[in-house]
Amino acid sequence: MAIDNRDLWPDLVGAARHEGGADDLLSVDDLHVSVHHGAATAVRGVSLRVRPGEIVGLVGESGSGKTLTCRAILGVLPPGCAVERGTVSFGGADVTSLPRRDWERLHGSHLGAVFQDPASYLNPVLTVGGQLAEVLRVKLRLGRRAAHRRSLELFEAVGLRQPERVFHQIPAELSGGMLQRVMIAIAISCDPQLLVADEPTTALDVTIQAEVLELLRRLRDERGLAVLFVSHDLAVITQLCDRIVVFYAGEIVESGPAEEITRRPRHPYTQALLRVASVGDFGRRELDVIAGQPPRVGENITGCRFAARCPVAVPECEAGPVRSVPVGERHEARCVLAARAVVGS
Amino acid sequence: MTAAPAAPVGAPPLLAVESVDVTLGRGWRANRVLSGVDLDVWPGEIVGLVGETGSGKTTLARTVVGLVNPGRGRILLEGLPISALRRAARRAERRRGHVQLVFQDPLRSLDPDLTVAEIVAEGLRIRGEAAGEEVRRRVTGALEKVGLDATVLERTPGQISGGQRQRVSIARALAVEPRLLICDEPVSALDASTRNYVLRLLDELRTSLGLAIVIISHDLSSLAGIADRIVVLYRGRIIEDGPVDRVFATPRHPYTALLMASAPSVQHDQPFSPDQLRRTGSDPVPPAGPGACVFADRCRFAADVCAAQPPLTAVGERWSAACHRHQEWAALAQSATQ
Repeated sequence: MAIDNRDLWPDLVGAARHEGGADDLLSVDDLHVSVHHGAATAVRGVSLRVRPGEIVGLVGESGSGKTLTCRAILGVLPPGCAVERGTVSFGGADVTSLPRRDWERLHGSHLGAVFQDPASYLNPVLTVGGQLAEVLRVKLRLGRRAAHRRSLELFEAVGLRQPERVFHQIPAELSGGMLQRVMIAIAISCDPQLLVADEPTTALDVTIQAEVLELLRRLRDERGLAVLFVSHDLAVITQLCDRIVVFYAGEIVESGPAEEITRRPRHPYTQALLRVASVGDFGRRELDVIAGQPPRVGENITGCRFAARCPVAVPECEAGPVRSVPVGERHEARCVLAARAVVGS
Repeated sequence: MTAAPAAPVGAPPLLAVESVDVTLGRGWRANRVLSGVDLDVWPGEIVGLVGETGSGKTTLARTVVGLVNPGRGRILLEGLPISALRRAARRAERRRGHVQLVFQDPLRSLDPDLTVAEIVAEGLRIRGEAAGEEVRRRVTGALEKVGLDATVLERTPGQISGGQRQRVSIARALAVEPRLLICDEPVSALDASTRNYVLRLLDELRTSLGLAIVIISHDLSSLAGIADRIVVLYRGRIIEDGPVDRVFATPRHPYTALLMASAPSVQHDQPFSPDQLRRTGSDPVPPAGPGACVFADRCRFAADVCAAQPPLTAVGERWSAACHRHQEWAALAQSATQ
């Protein structure tokens, strides 16, 4: 007997979709992003919300669409990629089809961004202080002295120990961790409400990574900065985030509070990710793997996109599209079995 | 006499690194990258080599395969001092391929224009084995060992997935039947599931082929899953070397403890938090100077005694650490912040 989730739970699904609403800082609705000049759809109907001061983590394998989602939010999709359908709203205003000029206004003052490789976003022949001061002078129209003073304050705020010295150094003279702090200083220089961080610690040593994660948490606590944090490493995400959004093959398969996701994951893919993630017991153990391969980008699958690799799949998983169903407080899972459990309770 | 753990009775180490110093660059650019490194690796053993950027992990790997000459000390493979070999003798030793290196990023270390078959056969070709049925058989054999079938033979590295690429670079290394495999960050470019697959594969190969494997990694937790021994490098010196279960249960060097505390994990039950191990502004100024302990300027527990670099000394069976205060710091950390 096949259960069609769409018909069973239209009200619940609808309620979850529009819960929160006005107090969301960022809301993404039914986002579709096409790649290869429209030949394939890599992000399929992604909806997510970020509230002010909230740290939300996007996690998934490479090619799962988390970075494209992030880039669509920032309005900086790579060439050949486009928003096919859906909206991105920031502070209630639709920014999906914003012209270039308006994006530039939004960047910095409302939205900041940091990426994996800080060195490639900085000019190698200019001092890092000069590059931060330039942003302040252009965006906030500060004078030379004020910009210099503010730069030192920002360097101090991101934990650079000798701000005056760092100010006059070029990127090559700084370590990876220091460069990432400089990038964060630039990203928060105009007091944005949201920081989008795409794998910002992946290239860093673990000790430095732990420091950068602490810095992000501190910026949230002190400034009320909301953070959208992208990583392929579930262990990093669980350490930092309030909420976790799990991506698989272009879709969100589960989203919810970090505690819920790690303690009571409802989607088999999330459960598998937790099994293969780094655990802190440092004991000898059988390293788990997720059998099979994710579907190729743009591959059309009628049912659940994880069904082919799922250890508990049932025939109806592949029967038709699977909707996300609420399984707890702000907790949703896109799984036939999770939906069944909700019906049962 | 090396400070490395005592050998199992009767068995000589496959690889012996003896008091190796390496200096890169000359004149004012000269930079001491490795200082007095002692390391033994036995057949069938997996050694996890951890340390941060610039700690000398990669230089140590390059020195062992002969790409870098040690300024002092020597490297012995099965008792043969390979670091002393020159010219033709060294080339002959390299062609034998007893030590193979697997790199971090297979997309950059594999020739994008060659097919998988050509890549895996290259070591055999360099060794002077004529192309033919025998080489073909060995290539498919090596691919089989890493769980790849003949369908990938004619593809190029760009046409296969990241996990498959890393398996191809392991197959390339296996084709020449090495005794020792050195893997430099073999899994850091891979997703968690693929990472575990590749690590499991290495674990199986060590059992089935009796290979010794050195894995350089910054991911302590997954190393803990397969390694027998953990060796921690800090600024060119080995600061801890011991059995994986004991080192990770009660690290004897504060840097090892800091690495563990900083490692991201889905569980949160660590013996220490990073805050208990990091220096704060109120800690006493650590001893500095050319002879001081390399870790002193980051160490919360540095005392006057740390003005001299501690030697790597035995702290347990087959376990050594280079810390003057290896018996005291853990208690200090526990009482410092609560």
